[in-house]
Amino acid sequence: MSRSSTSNSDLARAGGPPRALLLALVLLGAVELGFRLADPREMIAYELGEQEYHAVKLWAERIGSPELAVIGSSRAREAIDAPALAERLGARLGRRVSVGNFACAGGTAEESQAVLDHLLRQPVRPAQVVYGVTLRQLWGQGLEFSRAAIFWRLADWWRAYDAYVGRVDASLPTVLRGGLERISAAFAYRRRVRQVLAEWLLGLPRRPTPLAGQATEWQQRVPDLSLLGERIDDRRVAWYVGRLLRGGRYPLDPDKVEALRRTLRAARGGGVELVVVELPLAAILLRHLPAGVVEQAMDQIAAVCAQEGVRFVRLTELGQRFEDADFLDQSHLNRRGAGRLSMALADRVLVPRMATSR
Amino acid sequence: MLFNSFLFAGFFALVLPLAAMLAGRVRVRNELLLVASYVFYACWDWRFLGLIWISTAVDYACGRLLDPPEPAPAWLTRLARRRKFLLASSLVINLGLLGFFKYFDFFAAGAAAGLKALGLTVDPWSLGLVLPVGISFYTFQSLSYSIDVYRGQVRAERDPLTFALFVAFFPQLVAGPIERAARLLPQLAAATRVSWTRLTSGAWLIGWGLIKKVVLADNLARVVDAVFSSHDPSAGAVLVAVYAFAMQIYCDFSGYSNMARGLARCLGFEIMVNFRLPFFAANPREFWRRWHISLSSWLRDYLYIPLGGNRRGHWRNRLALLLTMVLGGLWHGAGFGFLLWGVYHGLVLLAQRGLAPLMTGVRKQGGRLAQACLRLVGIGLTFHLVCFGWLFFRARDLDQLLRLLGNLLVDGSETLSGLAPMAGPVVLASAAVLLLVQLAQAAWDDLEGIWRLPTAVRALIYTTMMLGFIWFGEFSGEPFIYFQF
Repeated sequence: MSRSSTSNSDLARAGGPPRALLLALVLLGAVELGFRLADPREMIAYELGEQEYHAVKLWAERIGSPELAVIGSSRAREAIDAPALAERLGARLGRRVSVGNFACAGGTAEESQAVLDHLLRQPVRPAQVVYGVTLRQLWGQGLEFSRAAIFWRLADWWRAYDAYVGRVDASLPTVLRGGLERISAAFAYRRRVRQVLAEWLLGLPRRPTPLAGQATEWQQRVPDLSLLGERIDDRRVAWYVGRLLRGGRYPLDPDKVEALRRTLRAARGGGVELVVVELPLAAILLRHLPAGVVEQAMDQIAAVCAQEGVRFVRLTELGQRFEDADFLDQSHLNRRGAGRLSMALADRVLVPRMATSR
Repeated sequence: MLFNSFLFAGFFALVLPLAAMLAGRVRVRNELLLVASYVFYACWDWRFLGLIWISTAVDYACGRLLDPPEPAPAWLTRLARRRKFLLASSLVINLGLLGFFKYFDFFAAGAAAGLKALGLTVDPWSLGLVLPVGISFYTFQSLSYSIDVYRGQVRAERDPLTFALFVAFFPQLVAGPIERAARLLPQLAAATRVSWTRLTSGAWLIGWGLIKKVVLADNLARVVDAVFSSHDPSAGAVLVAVYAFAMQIYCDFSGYSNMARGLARCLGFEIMVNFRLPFFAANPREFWRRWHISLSSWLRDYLYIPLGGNRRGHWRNRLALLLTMVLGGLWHGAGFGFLLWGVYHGLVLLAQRGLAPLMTGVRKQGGRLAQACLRLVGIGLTFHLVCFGWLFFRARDLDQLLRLLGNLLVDGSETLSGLAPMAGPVVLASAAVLLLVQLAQAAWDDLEGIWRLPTAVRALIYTTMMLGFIWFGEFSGEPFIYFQF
């Protein structure tokens, strides 16, 4: 049998008043104060992947939204050149317009809904929202809440728990951590602490933050990379599309269509002007997608937009044709493509709307 | 319900005050703790509660029959004389359940492969069974009770409630330590006192265990997983991953054991220390006296010694040792990796025994400095022998094991391809923290020595721990490695 080496005298010492713990809490309070006094723009870590969601959540809570916010998936994130768009809008409207790209990797319809809901419940809300969509927004078989839950409060989780029995249980810790982030800055900025350490140890530069209106990391790092540079060939794209197909079909989920509808209603209810924009896809991807699926998805989106009284901007309205040289890979625009799309969007859609709405 | 989860925090926050209020009323307190333990287990999978109840019923009955009350009715006295039959019944039922759920698919696949080698092609008869969490732990704990009663080392527990709690006590139900009846049953049968002293020292153990799990083990897991999921990592990457895994599994499992001790202490109970600075072991035998002590002592007392131990001659002793280590390896799971890991450690221990006379001679001739140097060399050598063994343990299958061994031993590439960019800093920082704490622990003889430190130093340690937890904790709810065993 193993002995316990704990001596009684050691344990007796443990029984005294918790001075050390109280002192530690005071020290922790000092650290918390330091974090609260710091500039949140410096303290929010932005990295591609799931961290984008956390960054969007914190940015909205601690800084607020810009005048124009972009939401959607990584396709929307890469399709908008935020600095170029801000400059064009500023020049055309004769005033400064802040643009932030809040689109997140993966961003399905329910996740974009969670992002918009979160932006709308903050004191500083966006006046305009551009929601970039492709058929990917509606892809899936059932709603998936693990990332949407990053934006939830306990009441949201409870409602989802009621509505989707057994499907959001695992998200509760995420929601509770989100609550802790609202209380403690030291906890909220923990990812930045890690990032600073990694930057320092590995000699890395700070990553750009599209939330602040900067060009994305891909736009900055590989602005001219096109399909040819990335070696996107038919085999690779066929493999990519194959992962999305279910029984040979590209699943368009009616639940996602409803999530899109709720997003549009939320924007209208929140007094925010939202415009849904179809995003371009590379010809090589269109060749591998099942015939007619893009049109089917766009028709569904158009129908929902019409029913909810939201403008849906089709690519044809923008007067642009996108070619291989505009794409980073089969589904994301490169900076050249993003620049063209952003200019067309500014000139044909946003300037007229914003000129009349202010 | 993981110890490192909000759900468990809520569960324990509910159970602790109730247990404290009922500390003096043994029966009601035990009823509460038993219900809590079953709820805790049911949160994993309520369907397997039945297995715990079977183990509990079988070993309770076995104990009562082996040690009947006096005076006993004639039929009971007659039955009680069939001691070997009673013990065998407990062994067959307990090990039968364990074997069925844990090893059936493995042996069925092995049999099919064997038949295929003989030219007979049969489909492996796989049941695809889900392994009930903690079955290896509570089965061994319950079984040790029956054996101890059979040997006359403990009296049979009369109260079924107390015995059921002994089998299912939630702090150590799913991953040990595998407690002995002589140690835990008397505590469960007595009134406890939940004091401030116990709460603070228990909280310290829980806190340090939590840090080991979510800060050290889970960050190291990222480094390890990246290499072990890589198709063809370089020798350098495999080497780093093996060191990282040695630290990960130690932090993961000893962190759990710390938390189990801390939780039990808060409730008023003391459970055994399961790890005693294993990386400071100067030889493989010492390592096994410091690593997963509750299992290694179980294997020693209930397997190695009954197989002959040191008493039955040279070859019988070697065979007993090898067999004990092989079965110890297989206890972890049905897989060739665990089997080879057991064989490897068996061979290492045999080699140590073979070299023992030589080492004793060297030690006797050398002065104190030479002995200290020899010990340091022994610590380094043992650490590396143990680390090499983890490769067998961690490899996904035989193919991966051979590929990694090939990369490590033959390829010899010095690049670190396959490692995450932050792998180096994570491994070095973890090693530094572990070394620092282990040195302090060695000086204090246990973690409790922290109470001897001045208030300001302790405050700094607490602050560092809290900030480390907040900033570097992995909160994805990674399960403890040993839950799968």
